[in-house]
Amino acid sequence: MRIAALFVSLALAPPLLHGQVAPKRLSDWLLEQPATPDAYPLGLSWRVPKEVASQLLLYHELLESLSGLDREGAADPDALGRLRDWVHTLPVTGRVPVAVADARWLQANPVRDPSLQPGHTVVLPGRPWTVTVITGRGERCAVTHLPGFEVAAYLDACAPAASNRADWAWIAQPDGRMQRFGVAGWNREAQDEPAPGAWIWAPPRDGGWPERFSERLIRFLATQGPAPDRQAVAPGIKGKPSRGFDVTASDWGGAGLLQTPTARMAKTGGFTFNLSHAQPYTLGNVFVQPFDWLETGFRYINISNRRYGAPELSGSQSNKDRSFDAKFQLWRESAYLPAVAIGLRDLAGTGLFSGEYVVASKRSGALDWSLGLGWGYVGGRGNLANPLSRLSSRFDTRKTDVGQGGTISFSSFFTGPTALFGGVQYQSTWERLIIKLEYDGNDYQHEPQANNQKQSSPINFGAVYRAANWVDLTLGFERGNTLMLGLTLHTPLDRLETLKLNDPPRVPVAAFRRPQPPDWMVTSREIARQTDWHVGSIEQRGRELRLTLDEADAQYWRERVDRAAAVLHRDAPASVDRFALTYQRRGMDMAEHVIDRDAWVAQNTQALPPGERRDAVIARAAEKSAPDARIYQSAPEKFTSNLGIDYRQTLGGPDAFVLFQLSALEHAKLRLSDKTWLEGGLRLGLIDNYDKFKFDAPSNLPRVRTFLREYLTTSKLTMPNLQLTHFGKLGENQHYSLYGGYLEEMFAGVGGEWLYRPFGSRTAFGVDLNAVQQRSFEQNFNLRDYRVVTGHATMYWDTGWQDVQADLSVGRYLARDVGATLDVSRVFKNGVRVGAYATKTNVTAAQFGEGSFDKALYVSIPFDAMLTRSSSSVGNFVWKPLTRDGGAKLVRSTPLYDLTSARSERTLWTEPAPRPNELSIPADRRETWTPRSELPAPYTRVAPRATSEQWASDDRHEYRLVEALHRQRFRSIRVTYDDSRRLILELSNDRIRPISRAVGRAARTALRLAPLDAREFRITMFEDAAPIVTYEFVDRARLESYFNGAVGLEDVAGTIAGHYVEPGAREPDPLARLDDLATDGAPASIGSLLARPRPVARVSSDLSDAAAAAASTDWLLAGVIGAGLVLTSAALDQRGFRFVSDHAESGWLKGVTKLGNAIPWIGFGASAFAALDGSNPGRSRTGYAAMEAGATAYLAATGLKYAVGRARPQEGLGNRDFNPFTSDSRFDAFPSRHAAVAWAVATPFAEEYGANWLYGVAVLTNVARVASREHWFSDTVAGSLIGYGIGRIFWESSRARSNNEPRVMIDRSGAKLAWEWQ
Amino acid sequence: MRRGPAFDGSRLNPNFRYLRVTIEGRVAFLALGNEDSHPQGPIEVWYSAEREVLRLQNGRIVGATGLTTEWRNVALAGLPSWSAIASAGESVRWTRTRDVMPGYRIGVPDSLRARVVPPPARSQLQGVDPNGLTWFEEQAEADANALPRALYAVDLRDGKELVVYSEQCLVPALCFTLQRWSASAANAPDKK
Repeated sequence: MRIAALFVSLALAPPLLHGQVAPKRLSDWLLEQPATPDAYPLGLSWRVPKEVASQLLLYHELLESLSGLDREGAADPDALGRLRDWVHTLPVTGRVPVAVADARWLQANPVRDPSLQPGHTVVLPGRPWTVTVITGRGERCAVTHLPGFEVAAYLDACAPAASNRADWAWIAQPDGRMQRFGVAGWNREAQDEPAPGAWIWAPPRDGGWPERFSERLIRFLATQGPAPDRQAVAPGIKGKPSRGFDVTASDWGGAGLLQTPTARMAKTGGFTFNLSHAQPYTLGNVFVQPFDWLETGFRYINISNRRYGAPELSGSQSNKDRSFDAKFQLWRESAYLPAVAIGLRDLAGTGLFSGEYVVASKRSGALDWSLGLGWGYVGGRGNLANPLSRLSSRFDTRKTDVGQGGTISFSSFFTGPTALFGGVQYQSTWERLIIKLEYDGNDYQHEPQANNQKQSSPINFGAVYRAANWVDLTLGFERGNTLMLGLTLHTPLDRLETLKLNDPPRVPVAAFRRPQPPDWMVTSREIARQTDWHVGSIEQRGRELRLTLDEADAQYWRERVDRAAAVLHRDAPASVDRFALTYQRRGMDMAEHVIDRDAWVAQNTQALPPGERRDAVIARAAEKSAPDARIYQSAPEKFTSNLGIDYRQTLGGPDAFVLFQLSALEHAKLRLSDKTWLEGGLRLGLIDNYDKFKFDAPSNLPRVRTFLREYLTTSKLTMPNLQLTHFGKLGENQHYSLYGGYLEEMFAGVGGEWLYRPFGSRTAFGVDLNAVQQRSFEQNFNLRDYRVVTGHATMYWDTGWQDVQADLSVGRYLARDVGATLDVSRVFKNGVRVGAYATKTNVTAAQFGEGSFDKALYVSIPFDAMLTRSSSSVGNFVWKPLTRDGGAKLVRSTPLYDLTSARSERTLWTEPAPRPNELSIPADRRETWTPRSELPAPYTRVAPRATSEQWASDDRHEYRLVEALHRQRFRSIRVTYDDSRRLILELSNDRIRPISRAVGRAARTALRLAPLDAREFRITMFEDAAPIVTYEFVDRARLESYFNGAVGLEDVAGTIAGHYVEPGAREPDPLARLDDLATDGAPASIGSLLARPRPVARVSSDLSDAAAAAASTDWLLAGVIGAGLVLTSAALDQRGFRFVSDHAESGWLKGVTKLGNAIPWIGFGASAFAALDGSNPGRSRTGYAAMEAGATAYLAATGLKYAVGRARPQEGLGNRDFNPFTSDSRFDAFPSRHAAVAWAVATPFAEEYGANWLYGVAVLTNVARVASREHWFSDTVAGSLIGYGIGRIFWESSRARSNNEPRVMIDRSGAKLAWEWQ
Repeated sequence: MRRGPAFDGSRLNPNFRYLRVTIEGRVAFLALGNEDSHPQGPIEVWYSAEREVLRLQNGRIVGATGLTTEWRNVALAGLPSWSAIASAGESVRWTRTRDVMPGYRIGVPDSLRARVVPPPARSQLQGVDPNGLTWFEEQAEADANALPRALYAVDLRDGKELVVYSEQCLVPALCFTLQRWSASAANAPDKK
């Protein structure tokens, strides 16, 4: 530990004096320094003592890595030793990067100008003339800096042999910016030069240096300032500037060459619209990249020499084919292995052009090579036998019957003969030009619809001209005789942003507070001008100013909160420390954002070091209004209306490819009371081509949607909506609406919706029920005869996994069909959402008609991302291949889930995308790589402590505690400090489990931030607004000793009392997890210090622990609940059986069956792998628990099968035929062993990592067992419950022993690593 | 820089000195904020409404911060005076070294030669007779990364060396015209 070097004084400019009293801006300090030509502002170091603690932790982790303690790497011990000896001599500086060390610019941009406090140090070094390379041998090599030279030249100078074996180079620039660039042939990318004083680390790929170590090393070197000059060598040969590799679209829209795909993927968020033409086909492709591993899209193919249909129906219109593609990346490219992807073309369309492929791509410099194997249309040449035929003869022949289209033909995937395809892409020396050459896998002699084409050569070639960063033009020569033209427009959806040039200028932020209260009417008007939010009332409660904002909505909440805060800070009296913005929709309190005035002002007036950056704005559930404290009130507008333009279209119909209407839409709202609203609209068609609309889609179902033509063409003036709605709340988390009137264009009636949505929760549940009647085609006040009762139960789930939202609706649809809709979407940080939904009901594919089932892709883009004026609206683009009657939902105008969006925890997460690098100033440019944060958990931060008196007089202390808890995902936080010096916390946390672990975290946080003389803590944990458990810690000092490791649990147990309000939540040992410090960001290297367990002894021990945990379970209660669920589910046994019998030949059901049957065994194998791997102790422990639970569930289910003897469905004996204690396999339906094992294996991982989606995977096994008619529905429910219970017991028991794990702790004495053994 | 033709007629504060900047025909005004001392002559520090900072020394750009391309530091070795170039009768050579961001291109050398040229047929000079000024061309030695030529219109009358107008580039894609501007000139109709 070498903090002593903090006050290094260089000859050029001495650091600020230690003990300086008055704060000073860095700009002022810079101006005081004598001008010297040798000064090097790029290397300026601003050193903050408070940052030393976190850098010290990094320093220790680095030294541990270099001591071989983390066992992650296998580097040469001599190299490790040399590096360790050197790192040991380096100081821990507390350096914080400065945006630009330019005094005049900092003066003009005070928000970037650090405020130097007493104890801070500034070092302005002289200009170095070397760059220092840390070699893989652990040596430092100084190289003379020359402008225009990239990393490779410096590596060549120091280690010519090793430089060719480096894949990545990490650079710590002298200003503290960290960078990582690919430097090998397969990953080279455009890169910055190392500046004089830069540190470079580029280990050889076979050097045994793990990536985590490289990140730690470069992070630590970035705190050191410029590398000092040493005796230097000359750099190697200056090469051409490096360039990255461009991924461009193929003729088919996805990433590829011309006709053939590659394994390349666009960047996540990429959106591509592509047109290509090669006679007789014109393809219009729309593709998106929702994840880095998934590319998906749809297309229309115009076949110019084939008719759409009979001339009387579609005239001379040429044939249009719709299709849908998906490509999955199986693994990424590395130094020796190619990227590999598997793709499905036209997988859910008519199947005319369906094909599958597996393709590999490998880059070498400017060339990118691809080689693949294609099936179906991709491998139409068919000159190779299908290698999968060795597995099964069913792969020999490809089925070409596409039925109604729209189904996913699992059975035809990868069947029939195959062909090789491949090619190369060359990035020419002219940056805008890309050359492509390929060997096509299709022979064009067996085209769909007998539309065979002459082919002179299987070789295609072409060029892509990148006309702009969003336009590509392609010219190709294909089949040896056909010209191809292509146009591609592309943009990153996740980067969409627009400067808000038409918003009012922001109110400047001053560092001081206004002494007198303002005219609140002026303040509220300015807030309305800045945010478009109407201020309904203002209350002042002590030091808190509370605003109620009426009908407040936004996409980028933080932007508007900042604008409101600027006005409030300008106007609010000095006595106010906190602003609370409470949002109301339809008279219901939704949520509030609380702004810590000081923290917010600090963030907006100066550059803060990381340790002082606090969440100035937090979200929480809305508090009740206190009318007595009201100091301003304003009545809301009773009537609002707006006139807009509406565009809608129908694509791909037989009458014309595009049928469109442009109309004027007037929408108005009348507020009858806060909670009762009358709203409606009028539409006037302005321009359309509906005169071409002749086609009436045939339908076998009640025509609830296929009267589309009639609704669109009967009247120019229509009333799409007119309804009366009453809104209300049933408690804190439940909302309802009751409505009646003309609900949508095609249906009128009455209905209601109820939504359960706790604040900040990732899940919500809602039910809607509607009695509706079909409207007349004129969309006036008349009705048709058709009536239906429709409604759905919907589960909304923000999975947290890759920002995926999954919504599942189950219910009755407009055509009286019953089924479910699954909607899965990916939301990006700028609010853009890409998703798909599918509905499957009890309507067969034949009844449904063309398309087989209802489905759509959609993209939602906040207008905020596109307009120069802030807006809360969202633009939706939905691609729905067909409008049919099956699976049609009522379109409700105000769904409660949308109305309550302010309760989402993503309100402060969503924000404008950063400006593109080319439009940003250098200090704001985003790097292609950023190091993973390894900061300690927030409660380990050092924070000032207040006395009880200070605590009472200044509520910023309480706020700090709330903020620290909030950062750890605690919500609904209430803090009370009573006269007996007891701190009372009431809070909830849906992330940290079990609850005792959350209590421990809260207690540890309270210890750090509570008043110094607090004696006791009471912590009550809530779930869904109901208290679950209260912990009393009556001896603060002893608790602190326990958390610091000075005393054991037995020494503190007597000072802790726990009271479970909810007995079912009781844990086997309520104290076992109190000191569980595991965090999501905990370094794996710490865990890997544990000795590897011996599997046999481990299993034996685990079983013993599980038995103990089982003994403490309330089996009576569990049994009653379980039996109730199983008996209830038995009511669906016969219906489920009939359903699967009716759909026995369904391709998708067969696919699910195969997958679901395999899941238990795949899961078991994966658990075994995780258990035995041992590189991550947490994962290994969970793997053991899952494996043991799976085996136990298998045995338990087998025993129950024997004891119950229920007949299997396929025996035709019904679901009430039992033959107990028989070994006859026809009578062992209950319970499902597959389901038991699947759930037992899934549960430990789901609980450990909060991965609830794993339960969804386990459900596939339930579906598979019912679908295969091996089990009744209730058998699988019983199996699931058994599996879940066993999995839970094994997981709980495994966690109870977790305090063997080592912990990193920081206290006043420094950082230390500690672990206890029981 | 926030820029657009509408700014050309904006009312400027007569208490400030302005620099009229055009980029591809669009106009912005910068205000003089400071004059920092320097051994080779004072450095004028000009500020834009968008808080960008431009530094000029003897009319030459010696710093640009807060733009998409920045010159963080510029060293001018052997820089001759305008009068010396005017009286030399031939090209005068000297060297400039720049620290350019982004890209950490530190110490980029430019070998420059300057000479007197006749007034150009077209320029963005406003309200001043070009024939009353001495025009200089500054050209970098041929290099792949060389900047386009710079042009300076200098008032050498009465022993002054005042650069009234110039055309300079930070990178080939970011070129400016710079003209000293008074509030009264801005408030008057354009005299083209």
